[in-house]
Amino acid sequence: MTDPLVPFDEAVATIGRLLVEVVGEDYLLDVEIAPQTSFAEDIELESIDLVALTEQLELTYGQEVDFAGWIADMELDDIIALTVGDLAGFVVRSVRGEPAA
Amino acid sequence: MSLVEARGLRFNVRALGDGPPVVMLHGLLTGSIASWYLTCAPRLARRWAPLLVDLRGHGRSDRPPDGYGATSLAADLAALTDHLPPFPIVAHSYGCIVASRFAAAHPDRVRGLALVEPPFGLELDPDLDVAAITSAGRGLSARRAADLRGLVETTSLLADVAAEPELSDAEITALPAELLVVFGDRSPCRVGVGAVHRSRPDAEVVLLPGDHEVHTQSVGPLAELLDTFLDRCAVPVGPRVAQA
Repeated sequence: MTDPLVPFDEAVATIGRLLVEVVGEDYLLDVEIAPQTSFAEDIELESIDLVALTEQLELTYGQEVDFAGWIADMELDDIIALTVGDLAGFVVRSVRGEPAA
Repeated sequence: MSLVEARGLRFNVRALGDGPPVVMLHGLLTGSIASWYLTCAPRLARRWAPLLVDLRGHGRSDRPPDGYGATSLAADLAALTDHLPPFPIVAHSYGCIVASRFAAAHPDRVRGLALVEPPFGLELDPDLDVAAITSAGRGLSARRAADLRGLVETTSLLADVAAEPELSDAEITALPAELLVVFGDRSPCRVGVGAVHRSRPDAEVVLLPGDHEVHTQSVGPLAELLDTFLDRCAVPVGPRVAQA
């Protein structure tokens, strides 16, 4: 990452912290949150928790982080297959004002 | 979380987009804000302002011990939307009954109803296969399955739903003029086509590929249908002429 606005690693760390807020520490015990972590496969994140997580991201980074706008053209299977890295990359691009896709 | 207080409870609501409002309701148990947020709502948000609500006991809304019948859920909806100008409602499954009861109680506040998989003419089995719905696997994590069992075991939801009178043909006839009804072509709810044709021959009835979860299986076509439906709702209409 050359642009320091929101470094990718910081976005990943923030997602990890917000995940704890959303689903609780006990649930995420022994799980390492890494870019390749899949929300559905690796941590069995439920759809309601994904929605809550993205709301927290928008509160943290501002309205430019428009998750609904990003997923509008995705198939549900693609949304469910998202990884922490996918979401972090989306946050980084959004904060920079780049196209989300 | 956007928690809004109504009727002494905190409800999780989510507002998307700019434009005329549209309220989107989910079904019982496995339904939540995510039912529409991860499917049609983002596409509709390009032109409309979807308001998504977790019904009581569901998602991240409070879970009181009772008040889960459609009439009570419709009263929740009335309290949550009293700041909005008249709006259309898009609903899935039992949310359709809630939307219908809301429209009957507040006809001046509803611009139209888009009912996706309404359980019309289906007996709501009090011994509904809750064990199957709330067991892990089948797309539910152990944590979520336990949460749903909690909803069934610690509230009067099943009894309330069983006690709620079915929507009669007369009630279906009295639904708003703008009425779109969508069924999955492989869904048991399809039998409801009969009740709609009988009571509201003017309604638009569409079958899309899918089962009861057609809103997750035919997202693109359903979002297009809903977009067109919302355009129709945006045009002011006079009182509907009663069917002879």
